Amino acid sequence: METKLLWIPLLPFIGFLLNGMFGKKFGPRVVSWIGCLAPLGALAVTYSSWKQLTGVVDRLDQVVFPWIWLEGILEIPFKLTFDGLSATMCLVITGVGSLIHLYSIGYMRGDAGYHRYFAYLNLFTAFMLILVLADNLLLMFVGWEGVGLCSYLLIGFWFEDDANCVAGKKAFIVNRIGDFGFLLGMFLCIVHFGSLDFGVLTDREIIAGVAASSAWGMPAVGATTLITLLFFFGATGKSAQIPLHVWLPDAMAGPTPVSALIHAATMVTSGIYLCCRLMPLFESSPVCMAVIAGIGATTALFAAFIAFSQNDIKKVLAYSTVSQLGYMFFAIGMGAFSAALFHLVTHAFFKALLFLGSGAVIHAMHHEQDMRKMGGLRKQLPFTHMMFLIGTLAIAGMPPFAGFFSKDEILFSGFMNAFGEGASGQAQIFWGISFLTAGMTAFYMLRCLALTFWGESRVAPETVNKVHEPGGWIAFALFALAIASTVGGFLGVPAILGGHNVIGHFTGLHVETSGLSAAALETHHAMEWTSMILSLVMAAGGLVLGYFFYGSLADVRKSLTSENPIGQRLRHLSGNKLFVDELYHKVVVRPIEILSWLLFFFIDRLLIDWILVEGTALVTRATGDFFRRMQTGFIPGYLMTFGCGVLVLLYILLNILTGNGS
Amino acid sequence: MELLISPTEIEAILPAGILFLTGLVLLLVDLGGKERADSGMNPKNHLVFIGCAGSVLALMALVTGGGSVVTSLYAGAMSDDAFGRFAGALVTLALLLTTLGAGGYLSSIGQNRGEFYSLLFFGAGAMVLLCQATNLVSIFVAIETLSLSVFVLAGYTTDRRPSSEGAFKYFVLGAFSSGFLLLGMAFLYGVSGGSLALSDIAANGPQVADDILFAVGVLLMVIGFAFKVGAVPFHSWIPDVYQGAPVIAVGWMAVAVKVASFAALLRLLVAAGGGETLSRLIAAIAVVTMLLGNLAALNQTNIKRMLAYSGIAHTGYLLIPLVLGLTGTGFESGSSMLFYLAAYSVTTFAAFAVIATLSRGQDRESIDDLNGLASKHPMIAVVMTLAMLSLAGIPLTAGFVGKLMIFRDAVEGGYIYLALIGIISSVISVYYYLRPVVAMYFREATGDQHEVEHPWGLHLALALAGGAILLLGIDPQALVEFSVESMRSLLGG
Amino acid sequence: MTSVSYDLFALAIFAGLTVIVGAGLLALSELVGPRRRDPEKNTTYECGVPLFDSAREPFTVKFYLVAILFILFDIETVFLLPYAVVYKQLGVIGLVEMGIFLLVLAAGLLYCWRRGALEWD
Repeated sequence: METKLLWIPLLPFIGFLLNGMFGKKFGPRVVSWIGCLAPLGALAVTYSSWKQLTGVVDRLDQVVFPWIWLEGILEIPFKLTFDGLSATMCLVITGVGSLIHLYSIGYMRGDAGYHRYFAYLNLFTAFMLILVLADNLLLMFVGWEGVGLCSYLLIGFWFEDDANCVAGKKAFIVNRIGDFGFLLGMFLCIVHFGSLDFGVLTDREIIAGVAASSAWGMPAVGATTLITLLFFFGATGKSAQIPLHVWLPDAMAGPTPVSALIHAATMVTSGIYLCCRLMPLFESSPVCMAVIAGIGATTALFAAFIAFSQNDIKKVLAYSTVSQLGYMFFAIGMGAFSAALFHLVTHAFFKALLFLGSGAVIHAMHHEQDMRKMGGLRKQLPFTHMMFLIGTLAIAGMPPFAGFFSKDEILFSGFMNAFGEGASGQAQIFWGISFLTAGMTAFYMLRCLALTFWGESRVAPETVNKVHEPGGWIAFALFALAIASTVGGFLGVPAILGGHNVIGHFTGLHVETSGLSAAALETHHAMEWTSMILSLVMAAGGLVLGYFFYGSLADVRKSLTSENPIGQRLRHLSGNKLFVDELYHKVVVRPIEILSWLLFFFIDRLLIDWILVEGTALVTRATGDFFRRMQTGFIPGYLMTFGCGVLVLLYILLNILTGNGS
Repeated sequence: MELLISPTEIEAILPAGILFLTGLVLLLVDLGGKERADSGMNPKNHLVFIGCAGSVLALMALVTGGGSVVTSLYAGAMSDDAFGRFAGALVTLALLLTTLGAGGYLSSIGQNRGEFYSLLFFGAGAMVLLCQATNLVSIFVAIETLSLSVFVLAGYTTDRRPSSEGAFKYFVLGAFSSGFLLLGMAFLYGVSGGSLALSDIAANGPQVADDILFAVGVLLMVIGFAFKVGAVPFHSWIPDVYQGAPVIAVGWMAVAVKVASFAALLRLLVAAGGGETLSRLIAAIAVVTMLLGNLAALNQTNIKRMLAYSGIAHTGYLLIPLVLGLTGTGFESGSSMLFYLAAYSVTTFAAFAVIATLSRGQDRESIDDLNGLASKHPMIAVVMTLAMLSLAGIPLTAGFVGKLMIFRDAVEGGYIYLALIGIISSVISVYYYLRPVVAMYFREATGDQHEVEHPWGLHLALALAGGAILLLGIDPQALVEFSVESMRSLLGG
Repeated sequence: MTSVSYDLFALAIFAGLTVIVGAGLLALSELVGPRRRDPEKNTTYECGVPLFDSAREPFTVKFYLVAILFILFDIETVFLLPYAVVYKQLGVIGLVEMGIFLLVLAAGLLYCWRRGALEWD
């Protein structure tokens, strides 16, 4: 029984309460202190708890109070658990989170809502920590919804612009659609497992029993398949996968540090975390794993394709996030949970770095985000350029940066599934997609780098002289993240490079290969080398292509995209995000709007306002009889509805009964 | 024959008695004579104090008394069990909050008169009796008494046209629905061999599958109750009445009438049964109610009207446990309904109390009138946000736990489609529940619309309701257990 | 043919005859009767006194108030009279209950009085 675990989410929560209630009176100085000390404190507690996780003690538990406790029916305690997996997540959240808090001091200076900003950010940290520390699904759902709420509040942070509010609302509602899957999955867990505890849900024996049973007499669908598919649907909402990815690019309306923390490093990865947490459950359903791999690979390709033509620097990064998350899901689908989590961690480092770097550029450019109005910034912002370059190399998968190791592990697991033992054609397609995406990633990231920092300056003349390097906390956070992006990969150096997969072992997600014979091990290693070299070539190819296309060979690129009809078409598709928003608008939003509008129009407007109110108003004026209006107006209509309702119900009842009775 | 009243009978009727007596006292205390015209502006704290004292006393009588299940009190007219006391306590709690808020709101519109309070208390007394009634006649008398009180409350502000209009409509439609209730009772009386007691109906009444008249009787009674709780297609009065009636009375109507009616309906169905066919019909009503309520709420600009449709939608959710109970899996899921009612009560009351605080007799009831509230009155905005989140069913609020319990029951009972539609429609509902939140936090105030005084009673009521939303969301344990216990007492297990 | 439907058959014949006879008489008078209309004939029958104005003149609401109060206190009498019959059987508890009833009624009367419902002006 550990008592300090609660402090991990509690400290940021206290920060939220203090800043939220008294922030206005405190002034920015105190607000910054409280706001940053809260996640730093949580980091310290996490660190000391982590130190307690030795080989002997592999988890810490704390029951805070019995939450919903019906003896024998449903027992859900408010319980926190700290094991390797949550420890890793907590370290990322508090570590990267603290850096982003510090960065925000510089970035948000002078903003009218400074205290509000820090309050929300602290609240987000608290909920995110609850999400990863929860020992059961319900508590996790509390964090799950809480981070959604904070994300909504922070996307709409600059609410003076209506578009930001709309983006916030879109994010919230799309997430709620995903929650629908989460909730149903949770109910099914109660039905089939009788519990929401992760201990029960990951017990392989119990799972085997449940997997054999079918869901509600639907023999075709195994219970665990249905449950995991529902959870995955929930994960697609939070982690912006097809079909629910539409909210993430719009979410870039929030302040850039928010994009870095919530929409790149932490919240959007909670879907991955959910899958890792329930690894045995997911593994029990090959159908679901195939679906996850397919969706992940498709999303990765799809988002990378869209990223090609985005001109807003943050939008490029947003689609790149969607793409990288697709990668992680692809890894999960391939059974490489450890690789997914590893990529999650390194991605948190380099994507936070890239976002904060873009934030520094945006800050320097006085809130200009369009890359067409940048260019040549290398001279004025050498430090930021350096940081951004490191981030780009890391995400492209260049050794020795962090992305290389994690991406390599994912591609290798795909490679093994595609060409190793028991390979399937399906897996080969998935691998092909993800392999292609690796090159595309390198290409569009280099495009982003080149458009922003290289070439000729296209900066508007009035801002060109005001561009300045960031200082203080902004530089510090960038520097720290750059170091993490450089060395972070050594957490999981593969065996063939003489490493020992530290993170995989620590989180308990690693699947041992030691049982293999020497010959098999030999093949295994050979395949690993092949995969590594292939992916390296692909990434390097993407980078080189990007370098020339956005450098000396720009003419070739222009003729390809503006003269070649296929190029034009592709650019049109990519530039319009493959028309997914439009599709959803037509298929989902419009019908609901129309239905609601019809109800509003026919009942509230037409019937009541026009016919009854306006229409009878004429009569009223003519006769001067007020009560007439009441008697000839509404009530008969209402009585009609009432009477018809009664008749219909009676009719159905009698119909069924006489039908059954005789 | 000597007429006897046993101590248990006195104990059972004590809460309702206290409420009626308080109503009488309130009526007499405020007899001002002819100069009363301008006295409606006074806050009249003494009335609020008497009212609070009365409702607290009644609440104590409800909570402390009872213990064991005693049936057939007053020759079978009522019974004393934890179920009735639980529902009665919910009503009384709502009464306490309404009384607290009434003084500040009514004086702001210049209508602060003793009649309002006594009507509240007479209605509340009838509702408590309705929760305990086990005889068709006592059910009917209680329903009519509470309806009379609510009709008058709806038309309380006689100088406002929408108010009188709403009350008139409510009255006519209410009388119409009472007819169905009565007809249903007549059917049951005839079919069950000439007894009015629910226990006799349960014992002698033929099952639905066998007897058409019995099924028709139960259905007609269900229709009568469906009108009271606003289930589609018997809901048409709700938007107009909610829009017209004084806000604080709307809060009371929305909460208490629903609690008492659902309690009585549950008691009736537990006793009478109804079988598969009736459960299918109620399931259909539930589906239509959930969908229509939520869809119609989407485009409303008047916040009272929006909440009216939202209330209809919540009626739909509340019908789900009845469906489950009638299918033979048993009425254990009734405990979810009790919990949901509690969660719904505090939440809805909080929402209406916020509008009462802001409206202040100037009809500021558009969603735009909430613009920028967060910067002017952060605490009021926080309570409103909590209420909206709870209505939408976001975790850590009471509404989430309630929805969780109901949908879990639905899935466990094999009614996956009800849970699906429920969850889908609550996803839709997030859209309109967010609109007030967006208005409060993300928009600028225009003009002086939030220049409110600070009526202590309303603020206290707001704080209590907001606290309850959070408490029930974070630590619902005690209440969940209590509702399960109450349900067991009704089922006699 | 069972006895139930036989009875119903008789009922149907009876109902049919009623309708036919009623409608037939009306139709006959319409067909055969002479029709000479003049304004004098179309006026309301008022026992020979000429009409002043419309009979649908609104009464003052005070009449209704008095009528309602009358009904209320009338019911009191209706309730009290049977009580006199079973007075002995009901005993003390009956007396107490009647006392409560009368007290509530008295409170109502007091309310009407103080609110001015009993004053005509």
